[in-house]
Amino acid sequence: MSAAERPALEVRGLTISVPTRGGGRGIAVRDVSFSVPAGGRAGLVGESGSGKTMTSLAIMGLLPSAARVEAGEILLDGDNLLAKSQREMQRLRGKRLSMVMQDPMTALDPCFTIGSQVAQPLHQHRGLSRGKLNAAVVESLEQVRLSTARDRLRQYPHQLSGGMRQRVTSAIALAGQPRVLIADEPTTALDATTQVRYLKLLRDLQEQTNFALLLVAHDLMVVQHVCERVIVMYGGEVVEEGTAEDVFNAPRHPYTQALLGAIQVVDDTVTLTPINGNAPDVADVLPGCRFQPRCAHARDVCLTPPALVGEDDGPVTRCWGVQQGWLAT
Amino acid sequence: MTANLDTPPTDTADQPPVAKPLVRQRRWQKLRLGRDLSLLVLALFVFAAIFAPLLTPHDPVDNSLMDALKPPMWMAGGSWENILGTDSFGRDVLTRLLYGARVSLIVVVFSLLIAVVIGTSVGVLAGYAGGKTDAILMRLVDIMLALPSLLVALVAAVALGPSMRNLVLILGLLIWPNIARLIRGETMALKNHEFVAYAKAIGAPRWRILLKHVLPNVMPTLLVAATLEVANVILTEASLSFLGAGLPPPAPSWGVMIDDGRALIATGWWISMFAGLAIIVTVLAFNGFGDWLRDRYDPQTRDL
Amino acid sequence: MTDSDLVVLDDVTVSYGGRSLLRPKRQTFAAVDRVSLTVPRGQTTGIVGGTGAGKSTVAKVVMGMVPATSGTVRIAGHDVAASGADRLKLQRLRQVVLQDPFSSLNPRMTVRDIIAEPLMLVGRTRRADIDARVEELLTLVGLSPSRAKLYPHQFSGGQRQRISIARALSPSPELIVLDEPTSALDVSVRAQILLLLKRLQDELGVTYLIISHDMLTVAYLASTVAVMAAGRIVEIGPTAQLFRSPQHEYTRELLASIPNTSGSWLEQADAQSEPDPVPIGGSA
Repeated sequence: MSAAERPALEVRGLTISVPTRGGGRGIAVRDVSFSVPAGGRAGLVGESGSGKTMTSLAIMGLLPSAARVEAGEILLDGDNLLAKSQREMQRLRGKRLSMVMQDPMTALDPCFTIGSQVAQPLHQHRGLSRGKLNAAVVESLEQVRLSTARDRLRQYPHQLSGGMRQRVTSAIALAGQPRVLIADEPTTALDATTQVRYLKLLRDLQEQTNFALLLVAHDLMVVQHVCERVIVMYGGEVVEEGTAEDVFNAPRHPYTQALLGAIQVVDDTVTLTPINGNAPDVADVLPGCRFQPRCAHARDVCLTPPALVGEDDGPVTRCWGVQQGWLAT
Repeated sequence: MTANLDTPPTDTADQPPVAKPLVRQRRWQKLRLGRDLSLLVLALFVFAAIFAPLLTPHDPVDNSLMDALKPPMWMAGGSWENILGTDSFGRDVLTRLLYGARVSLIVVVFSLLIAVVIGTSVGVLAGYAGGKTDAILMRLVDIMLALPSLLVALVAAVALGPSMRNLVLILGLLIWPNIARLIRGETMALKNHEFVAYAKAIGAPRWRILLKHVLPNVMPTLLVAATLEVANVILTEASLSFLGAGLPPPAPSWGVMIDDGRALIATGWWISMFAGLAIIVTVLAFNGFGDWLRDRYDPQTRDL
Repeated sequence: MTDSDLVVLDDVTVSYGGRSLLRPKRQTFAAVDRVSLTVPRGQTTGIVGGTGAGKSTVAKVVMGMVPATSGTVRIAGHDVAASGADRLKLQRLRQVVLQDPFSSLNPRMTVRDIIAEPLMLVGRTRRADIDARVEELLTLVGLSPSRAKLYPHQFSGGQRQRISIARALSPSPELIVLDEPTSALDVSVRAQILLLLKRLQDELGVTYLIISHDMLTVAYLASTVAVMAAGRIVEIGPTAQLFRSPQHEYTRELLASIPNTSGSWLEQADAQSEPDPVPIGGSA
């Protein structure tokens, strides 16, 4: 693969363990591999406990000290991030790799003005100072469509609504012009209409600036409209991956199908078909497929672990039914 | 009883047992050096305090000038008679150390008890009630913190006279403001939790909310705060005893022992040294104990 | 106002701020502005709107957590602002399920004690009675009764909301106010909880007042929906009608914000929307 085709971010065989109650360790992320093409948009979807947040923290080098990477590589433009020291990672963050987090209420420092918080990374990563800085801050805020940007410079976070704060954190994250931006559940704390506006902003920003976007979310619908590729995680593993159209219109894995079918709106009626049971806990060691206890189609073979299979450049699935062809789509 | 349409067997008691975790934790990582050592030392401390008379044949206050300034047994001139040597009055150092543990234990326990009861009540009330009550109570705390503690203790001790009871009272009253402030902060943070809002919404009376919802949740902070004050108590007691405002001589207290040997560091270093070590070790042990108590008490960290 | 209306809000206003000695220029701000609403028995009434719309404040007024500045709120004829014996009656009638599954349960109480709390407050304190009732409730919400002695942190978010629901059901209330009950849950768990709530209503006949910013949540459970914005009800009507022919533009905006299958959902929804609302207390 030439440098031009190399993905901006590539995760290979990532396995992370965490301590469990009672003193042992469990696997939170198991052999996870996926890539985000340069200038592309990929969505990482999974519920709480699927390992998606651990994965994004591992990429950023911000794993809690109790978590341990047992295996794998994370390549940023071919550079293995896991081999880097904390200091090297700290220099990378904001400049080549950046993150927008979930809770806009706590992401900003309440003691500093919006202007100073956006100015800081602009100064640090782009070397702008005094004269040019103000203009750059205003431009930054206008780029994230914050109304009356100039007036915002002197305001404090508590004077802004949740949606506005999320825009500000996005401006801060993009200030250093990173190659890759990870948005970790950026709309979970926002209400429905604000979510729409923010997602549109995110997609437009990506199209303008051409950074590689990894959108982490628990709502498949949301990811489908923003991303080109979708990776579905369950119980610490990747269970399905493909283009947004493939995954959404023709989901192969029973979990993806169930997820899409959970809440459906037809005309003016809402139909619910929840997935029975609960997602596996990190400490739960299952003999085979992690979704098997909840799967309506499970057979005996499912008690052995299925592998991730699929055509090159095509959708991949981790499911015996799909692999062996007996799962009716 | 209806069928559980939305929860399958995985949710009920007949779940398959959790198999062994995949990654085994190394043996030595399970040992908690700090915690286990603390508990051991504290156990020794309590043991020494309780059984002091049985552990040593000597009397802690009897003078015997003939035996003055004997060095510890491993040095020249020392003997098994006085393992850690004697002080300038011929009193056995080890014996005074053991009896001193008693003094420290009693003083620490009772003065902390007073401080915790007053400090928690004031802190919880101020934090929960807010408004005028909070303002008044906190001004009281501020006043107490602004007073020079040693001076006040001295004056109080002179007025009340030197005794164990007065000492404990004075120390307790000196320490409670620190605890009150911490507890007030915790309470104010807790007020915002939804479970407190819920209890209020369904009509729980204030006393019940404070007792069942606020208090159990400020416990961890309280435990750590109390154990951190132990150092404060022991050292203040030593100072007071030296100034004559604490226990009257010849009572054996570690603080007094340090001061006894203060002028003799060169010739009789053992008099101060062992008492000093005893204080350091005990204070550290109490801190470790506080950590253990807090972890043990919190259901979330209990099994970790 | 008929007998079949369990809750009646009549011209209720909740306002904050206002002039005082130290702040002669401070404006009053109405979180709820002259809202009138009735909640019929045995059904679900939903209030939907964005952040700051005032819908949570309405829930709080009904629960008596916040006093109304003007107007009255009655539950089964009892005024919520009353005190004394009426207050006790109200306690038996109404219960609430709050939003955050991680903060709405006391981390130091066992699940059994948490669920039993409302019972203790209405005077049912016999241990055996409580134990039996807790067991019954846990089964009802789909949790194993053997887990009653565990602590909240040992349960997942969805399970904790079930515990919250069991707690709300324990005194057999007539009204349950649900303030954003599924907003903090994953999409996959949301469906489970909504289905549970529906089933419980069908079985027990309890009345729900559900508040949410998510149209789907409200639409699934509610037979009547009120749309709120800036403290006022801008549109109210039967759910199906609201979906089919929304009158107010804000209602249309809310409906558009439901992710749908069309390829241009984001463009369409974004085009519908208003610019960011002016935040409370801050400058525009």
